[in-house]
Amino acid sequence: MATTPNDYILSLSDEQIENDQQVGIKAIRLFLQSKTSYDVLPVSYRLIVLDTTLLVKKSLNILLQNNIVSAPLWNPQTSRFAGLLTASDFINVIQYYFQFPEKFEFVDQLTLNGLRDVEKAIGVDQIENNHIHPFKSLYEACIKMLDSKARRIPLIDEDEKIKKEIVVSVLTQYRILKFVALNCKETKMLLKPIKNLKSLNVLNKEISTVTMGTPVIEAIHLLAHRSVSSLPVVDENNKLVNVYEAFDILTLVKNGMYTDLDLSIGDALLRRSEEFEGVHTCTLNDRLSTIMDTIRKSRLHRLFVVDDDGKLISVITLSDILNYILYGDD
Amino acid sequence: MSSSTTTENANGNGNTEKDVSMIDVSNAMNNGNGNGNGNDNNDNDVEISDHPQPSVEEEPKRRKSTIILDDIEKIKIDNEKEEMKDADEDITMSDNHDNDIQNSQPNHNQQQQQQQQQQQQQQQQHQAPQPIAQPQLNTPDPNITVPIDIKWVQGGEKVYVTGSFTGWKKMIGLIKQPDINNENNNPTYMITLGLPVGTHRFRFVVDNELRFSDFLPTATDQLGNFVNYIEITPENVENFYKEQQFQKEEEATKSQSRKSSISKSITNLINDPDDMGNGYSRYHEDEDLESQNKKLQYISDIPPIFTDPKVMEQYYVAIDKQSRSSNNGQPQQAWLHPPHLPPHLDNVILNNFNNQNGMNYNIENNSGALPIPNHVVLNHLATTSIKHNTLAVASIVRYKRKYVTQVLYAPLQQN
Repeated sequence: MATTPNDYILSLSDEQIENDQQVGIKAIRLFLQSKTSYDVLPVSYRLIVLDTTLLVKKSLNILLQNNIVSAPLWNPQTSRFAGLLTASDFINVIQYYFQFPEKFEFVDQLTLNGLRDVEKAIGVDQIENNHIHPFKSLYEACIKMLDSKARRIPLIDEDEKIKKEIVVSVLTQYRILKFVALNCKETKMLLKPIKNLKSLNVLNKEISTVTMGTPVIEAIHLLAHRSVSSLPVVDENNKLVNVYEAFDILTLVKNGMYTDLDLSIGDALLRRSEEFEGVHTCTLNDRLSTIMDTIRKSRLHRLFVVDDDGKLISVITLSDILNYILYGDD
Repeated sequence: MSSSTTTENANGNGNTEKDVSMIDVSNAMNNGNGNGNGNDNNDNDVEISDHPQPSVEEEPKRRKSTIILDDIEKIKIDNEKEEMKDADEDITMSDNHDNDIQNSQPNHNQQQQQQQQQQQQQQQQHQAPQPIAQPQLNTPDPNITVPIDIKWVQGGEKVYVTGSFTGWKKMIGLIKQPDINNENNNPTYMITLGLPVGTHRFRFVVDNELRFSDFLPTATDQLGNFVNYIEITPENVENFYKEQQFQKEEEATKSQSRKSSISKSITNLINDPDDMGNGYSRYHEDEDLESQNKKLQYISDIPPIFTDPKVMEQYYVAIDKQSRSSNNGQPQQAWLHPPHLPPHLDNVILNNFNNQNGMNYNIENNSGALPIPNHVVLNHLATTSIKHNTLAVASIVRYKRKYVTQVLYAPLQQN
């Protein structure tokens, strides 16, 4: 007898669960195909754009002031959209400065225009320049993001009168998933435990971890080389104790700009804003239905998979979830 | 794309919300006019209302600069009315038709009798000097008038015009134009009237017979009377004032004809802003104003007050003193300060965003959602103060059915 929802789910046969999962995923895909990026936008919203002649250090302060982690860039010379500034660009600058400490003057006076030179010098990806038209389907936007491994995608349209491109907004993976979680009731049908979802690959995922004692600069290198947005902070027993995010680096270099890089992560985390949303975790037996419900309720960018003792097993990123929704297990 | 149905949904929401904001707007607009620049005389445009029949006591409410009429002022007005009548007689009597005016009532009766034979009954009502209708619906400023030539080319010896512009009470004599004859060899009679913006109804009294012109637009008014009418639009006024500048130059060359000098004096009479028709007259705070206006002229030098800081300061100090000494300081003080932003521009929705953030709104508002802007703030530029050589400007624009508030941060000097 099914008395609680959980009992009900447990009472279902594997076949039924599998079937529901497939139906649910298909419905979500259809939903993503039927909705455009424009649909996700609120009726009225704010968009912060940075002029590319701004100094990098000033643009950092602007991001923090506005409580955002990225912003589209605008080149005043060409009157064109000039890519997206994200936390990884600041990480690149830090790495550059670490490699060429004698160029402090250069780094101090670096403008957003100059970021490309820096990125060329250390051989990393350029500023993200991927974009999509707001009236393309969310499905296409997701594909573009997954292909470019970007976590956000600018929406670019052409102004009807002046025939120049305009930045309409920037869509993140989180916003798309939240939109799905809010508006697509079929997410409740995703009852398969995540350990059984092959494409999530929770059991064989290689994760880099840091400890409280790891120097920040080392974490920065890890973030850059693994192109991840965060690192789980574990103790000596591999128990998850915290997370170090790219965003934390922004707050760290805000004032001193690159002078506190030899701090330990533990010390650096003390500077974290009190508004920090916390670390989200799940277990191997959790289902995407509950994960989507969590996404609906709170802003998160990944879930760490832990066992009953809180030991870190794996991570599920928003890209993993999107990838699964778009392509399934095939 | 297969998104049509769902898009409709989203748009539907957008629509209703926008409607709400539209309602807000109309309120805001009213507020704006009400609270806004009290120093702007053009406010009268909005506030002076249609019916030129209110009693003298009502008038001050409508004119901001006038507070309450005391007895002395009433007397003044009465005097002005008397003067008006005198002046009126001067003109209309010029053709030795004193009786027409002084005994206007019997005259009307006569006319009525004649009409009964010749004209339809409805026109009788018209003739009785009832305060028919509201001559100047939506009249902005009755002080602004355009000279209009009113012609009569359908024969007769004594031609007058009467109409809504005189409250149907006065008859204004038309002047025979000696040199202009139309094809029927009828003389042309003409008068130039200064008429404010609005629709003016009128008829001609030709040899004591009430007639309408076949050469002017005709219509039936609210009471069913068939009348000639003329419409003065704000554009007419604009064009006239543009031409006026031109005419002034002509005047200097003294090419003015007799006709224009006559019409001018009559224009001034009808133009007299004290005459609102129906015996209604207007109080003037500053009677010199008109004569002052005439002395205004254009110069090409920038007055020192705008270029020399010392002169500017003296001027401000003087004005400041002046406004302090007179207690109704508002109008004068308005010179001292730039006008305030209209209230509807004070509500910057971006500021709202920060407030929301302060109140645990963080999690909810990661999409950068803002309140729906009042449409009057669209396409305005907002700026921050310049901090650390960085300027942020913001403007709200429509994107399809949504509103983007774009904030652009740029360095003050190009680095």
